Amino acid sequence: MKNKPTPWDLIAKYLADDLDDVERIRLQNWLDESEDNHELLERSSSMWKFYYSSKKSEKINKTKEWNELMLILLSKDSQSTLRTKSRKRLFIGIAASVLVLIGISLIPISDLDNEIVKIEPEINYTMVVAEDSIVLYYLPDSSLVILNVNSSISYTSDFNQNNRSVKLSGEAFFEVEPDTNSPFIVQSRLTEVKVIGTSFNVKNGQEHEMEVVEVFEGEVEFKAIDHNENSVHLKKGEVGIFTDSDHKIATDKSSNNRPPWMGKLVDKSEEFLQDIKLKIKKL
Amino acid sequence: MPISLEQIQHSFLEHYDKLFQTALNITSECDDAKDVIQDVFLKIWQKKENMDDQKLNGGYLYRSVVNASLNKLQKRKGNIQILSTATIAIASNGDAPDQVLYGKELEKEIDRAIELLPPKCKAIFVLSRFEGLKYREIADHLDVSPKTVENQMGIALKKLQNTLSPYMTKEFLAFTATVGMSTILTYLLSSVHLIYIGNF
Repeated sequence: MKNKPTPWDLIAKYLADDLDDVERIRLQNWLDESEDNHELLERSSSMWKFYYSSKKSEKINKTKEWNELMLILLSKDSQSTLRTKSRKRLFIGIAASVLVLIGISLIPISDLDNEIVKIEPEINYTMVVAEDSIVLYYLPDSSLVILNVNSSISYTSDFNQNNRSVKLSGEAFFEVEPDTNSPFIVQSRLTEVKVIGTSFNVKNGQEHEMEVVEVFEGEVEFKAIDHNENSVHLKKGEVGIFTDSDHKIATDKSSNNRPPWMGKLVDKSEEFLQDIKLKIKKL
Repeated sequence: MPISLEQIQHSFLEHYDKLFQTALNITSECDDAKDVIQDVFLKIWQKKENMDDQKLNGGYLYRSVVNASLNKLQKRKGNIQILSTATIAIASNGDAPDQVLYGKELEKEIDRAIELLPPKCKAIFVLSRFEGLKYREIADHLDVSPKTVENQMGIALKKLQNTLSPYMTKEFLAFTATVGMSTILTYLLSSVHLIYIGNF
């Protein structure tokens, strides 16, 4: 006896509830042919219920996704004004991803995750974004910034005139050129670091509960942005920790020579850094 | 009339959750799904001078995302057919699995089986089962004939059946017949990995 092939397309239509009357009759005829067919339909029905359970779900931060997209859209637009500062920039890693937007009207924010980037006309910013590699960048005053992955800084076109102010999102290590006439300031979402001396690391966490400064050389003044009295003086070998929940700055000792993540850069010793700086200056 | 960045932003934020879920359902990869959404909006942006703002409404975006997701899936998978892992297991052991799989284990098997479907077939199946579209709607979105949808759904069901039937024992069927969907889901959610149910 010849076995008739299983009408899978009919079964599928039945399960998806998409049968018309003619097809319904055809299915019934097939069912009436044997008990096995009934069983097969039952099995398929059970499975059909279960398929839905393998549907995936992921928590997505759409604000963050929009901010990323907006950077891409605007950079596509401004191809003609994209200028590279290759003389003073050094990349580490195979695919350094740095986006320098010059002449774009946008307010840089230090919180790509939770605040929508706002647009304001007639202000020029430079924004340096490290995505999946560590980026070295020299600011217009020759101060060195080393950005950890997923971090970014931005500064206005009047940097180095009246002030040297950068906004930071994520984590970066700074080596600041001394200039007593122009204080160097790093602003994160909640805190501000004013530099009196030379090298330090600033970190703000994802959860935005804490912002941390660790000083390796020199001195800084660390304060919360909206609480001006709460300012703390930190010296070499000290760590300042600002906690959002109680708006306090705690201090601690640190014996690090440099932030741990910088150890990822192949054997980064002080001389190596100095060496690069010298080479760049000669260019 | 040109489209503004504000309009795009509004549309993006309004529809993102739904569009992302659809892209994820079809591609099954979070990064691919994010890329798909970016590509769709980037295309709109690149044509913004001449674009009709109809292109920013939910229905149009949904269709774009469905097609872009299928393209992404096709690029990733190519035409490589992978042997079913369940088939391999049976061939080497010689025995059918003698344990009834529930919960997370079964979910994983189903997931794997769906991944083995060819791209277009998977997309059609996903649109029917996960997105709840009617055959007519699927045909319309993917710009294929209704017959194609019917055939592909049949193929999907047959392939899934073959891959998963070793796990679908009499005990399992009896279990699913006597309980409602919510109970099944409760079982799945309670992270029970393996239950063996004795003779009914």
